[in-house]
Amino acid sequence: MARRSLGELELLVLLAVVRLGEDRAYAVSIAEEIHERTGRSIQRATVYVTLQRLEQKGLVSTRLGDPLPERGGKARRYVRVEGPGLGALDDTRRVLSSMWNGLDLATESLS
Amino acid sequence: MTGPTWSRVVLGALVPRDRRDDVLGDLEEVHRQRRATVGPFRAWIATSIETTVLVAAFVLYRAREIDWSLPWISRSDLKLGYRLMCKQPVMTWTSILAIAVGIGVAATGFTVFNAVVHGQLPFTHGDRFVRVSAHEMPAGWTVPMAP
Repeated sequence: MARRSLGELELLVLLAVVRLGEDRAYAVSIAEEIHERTGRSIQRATVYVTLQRLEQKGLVSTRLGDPLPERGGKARRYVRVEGPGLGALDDTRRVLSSMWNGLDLATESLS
Repeated sequence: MTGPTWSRVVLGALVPRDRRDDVLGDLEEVHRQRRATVGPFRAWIATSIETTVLVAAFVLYRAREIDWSLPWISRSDLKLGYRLMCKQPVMTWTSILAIAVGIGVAATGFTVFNAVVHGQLPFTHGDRFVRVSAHEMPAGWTVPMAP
């Protein structure tokens, strides 16, 4: 039984953060990573709101980097997945795997 | 800074202070990438549309913290409106432009009408020119006077 369930967007954002690593994961790169891997265009506004929700749940933490000239002297806010976030990812994968286990959509649609 | 000025002003006012720098930085970074690929005009349009979506997102996110227990509005209506705006950014932007143009035309019309009908007289301090007249009042009548 899952301790916490993640919504689809939360799952995608968390996975993108894990893939990018804490030194490269910020809102712009997260949206690009999701787009490159899934083909879905996700608004950056959606990423901001999802990250705030994940931070409030204690699944991720954020820190400001150094100011960069290509950003008009503004810093990036890097995201890091915390222990509870990794636990939630693992729970979600287990739940989804158990639901998919033994299921063959081709066979199901024929019967 | 190369992004649209209005984007920076509006987002600077609406985004929570602790998130302001990184949100504006993201906007600037993406805008510069766009300028390099599609040119300044299309980049300006795209960034402006994106700003509209960002504003809607932050306003609605803040609105969640407010008690909306009013009979004429519900959170689900707001959510539906936000999702429809995100789904149709061109329509959203067109509506905002139509409202802005409407307000602009009405304000311009009023300004011209006011200048023509109530405009000051064509000499120095024309706005201080007043007409003074005296009337003989019947006994017992009083005229209200300004202090």
